[in-house]
Amino acid sequence: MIFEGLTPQRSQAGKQAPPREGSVYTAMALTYALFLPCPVPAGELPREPVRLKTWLTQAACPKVQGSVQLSPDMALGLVAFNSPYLFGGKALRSQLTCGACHAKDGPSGAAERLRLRATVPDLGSVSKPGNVAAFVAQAVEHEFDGPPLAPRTGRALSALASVLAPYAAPAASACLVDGVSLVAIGLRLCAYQAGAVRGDSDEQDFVRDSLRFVIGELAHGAPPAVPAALINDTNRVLRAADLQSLGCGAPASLTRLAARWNAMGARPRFVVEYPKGNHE
Amino acid sequence: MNKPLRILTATLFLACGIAHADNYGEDSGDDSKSKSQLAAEAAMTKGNWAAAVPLLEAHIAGHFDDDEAVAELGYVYFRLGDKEMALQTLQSALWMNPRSLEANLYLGEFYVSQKDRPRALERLAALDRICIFGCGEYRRLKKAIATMGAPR
Repeated sequence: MIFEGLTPQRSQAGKQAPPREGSVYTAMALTYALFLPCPVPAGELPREPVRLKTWLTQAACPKVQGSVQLSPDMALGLVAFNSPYLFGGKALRSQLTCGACHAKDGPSGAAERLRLRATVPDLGSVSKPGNVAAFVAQAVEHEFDGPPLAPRTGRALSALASVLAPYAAPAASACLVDGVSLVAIGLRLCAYQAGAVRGDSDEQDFVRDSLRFVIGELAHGAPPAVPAALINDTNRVLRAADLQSLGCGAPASLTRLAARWNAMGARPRFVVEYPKGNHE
Repeated sequence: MNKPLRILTATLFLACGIAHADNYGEDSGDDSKSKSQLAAEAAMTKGNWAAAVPLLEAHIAGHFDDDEAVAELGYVYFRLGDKEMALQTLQSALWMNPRSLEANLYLGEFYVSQKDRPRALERLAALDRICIFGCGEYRRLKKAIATMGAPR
C-alpha cells in the first residue's frame, strides 16, 4: 500500500485526469475473468515468516515468585518491536517489524525485500535512549508514510532498546521472548491497559491489532506452535473487541487467555505490572 | 453486451494477451514491478496523481491481470476528483479479485467520501472476512468510517 489517509498534505486535489473511455477497465476486467484462471487470493501468498524472537538481558527479566516481571512500558516496547503496525503504510503491507532488521545475524523477512533509504542503526551503539524514538519517528514519517509515533510507544521502544541482548549469541542468563510468550505478555498488557484509570484507546487498538498479527504468524508456522483452538479463541476475543470498539476486551477474559498461552511449553511465565512503589 | 463493448473486449483481450505473454513471469512480486509501475508509485508518493495515470495505464496494458494496479488507478482517479472513473475502475478491480485488499479499501474510502455509510461498511465487512487476523487495510477503513460520525 502506498497511501495513508484520505487527505494527506501532499494531495494535489483539483487536478483533472485526462479524459478516458469509461468502460475500458470494465472490459479489461471482463476479459480477464473470462480467459484467465482465478488469482491467488490476497493474504494467502507465500512469504518468509516474520521473526518473533527477542532476547532480553538478565537485568530486564527480574524474577518475582517464579515469574518474570515486566513493566507495562517494557511490555509495550516488546509488542511494538514485533509489530508491523508501528510503521504503517508500505511497511505494514510488507509485514516489516523492528525485529526483522535488528538482530545480530542480519535482517530477515521483509527487511531483505525492502530497500530503505535510511541506514538502519545498530541498537548496540545507541548512546541516548531518545535517539531510538527519534529514529523510529523519522522512519515512520519519511520512509513509510505511516501514522505519527505515539510518544509513549517511542519511550517504550527506547526503554526496550537498552535491554536487548544480542540475538545470535545471547548470554546464558538472558531471557527469550518468543511469539508465544509475546502473545501472553500482550494479553496481560491489554488487561492492564483496560483496567488503567487513564486508558489510551489508540494504544489498546495498537496492541490488539499487533497481537492478532503475531497470532496469525504463529498460526501459519509449521508446525503450529500452539493448538488451533487457542489461536481461534484468542483471535475471536480480540476480533469481537475490535468490532465492538472495546479496545482489547474484558480484562478477565484476557487474563484467562494469557494463562492458557503461558501454559504452552517450557517458557518463563511473564507478568505485566509496575514494581511496587514505581507506578506511572 | 453491446457491439462496441464486444469489439473493445476482443481487441483488449488480443492486445493484452500478447503483452501479457511478453511480460509473463516478470511481475511476480515487489522486486519485479514494471518500470511504469515503479514510476507511477514514485509519482503517487509525491502526490503527483495526474502523472501517475498514464504510467499506471501503461503498466496495466502489459499486466492486465494486475488487479492491484487497477485498484491503484481507481484510487488515483479518486484523488483527482474524477468520481465516475474512480468508481468504475475500483469496481472493475474488485470484480477481477473480490478478495483484493486494495480494491476493498479504496472503494470503501470512496464510499466514505460520498457519505455512503452502508456501502462503506460492506467493504469493511469484506476486509474483516478476508483478513482473518486483521490487516492494515481493515484498520485504515475502520478509522475512515469512524470519521463519518454516528449513523443518523
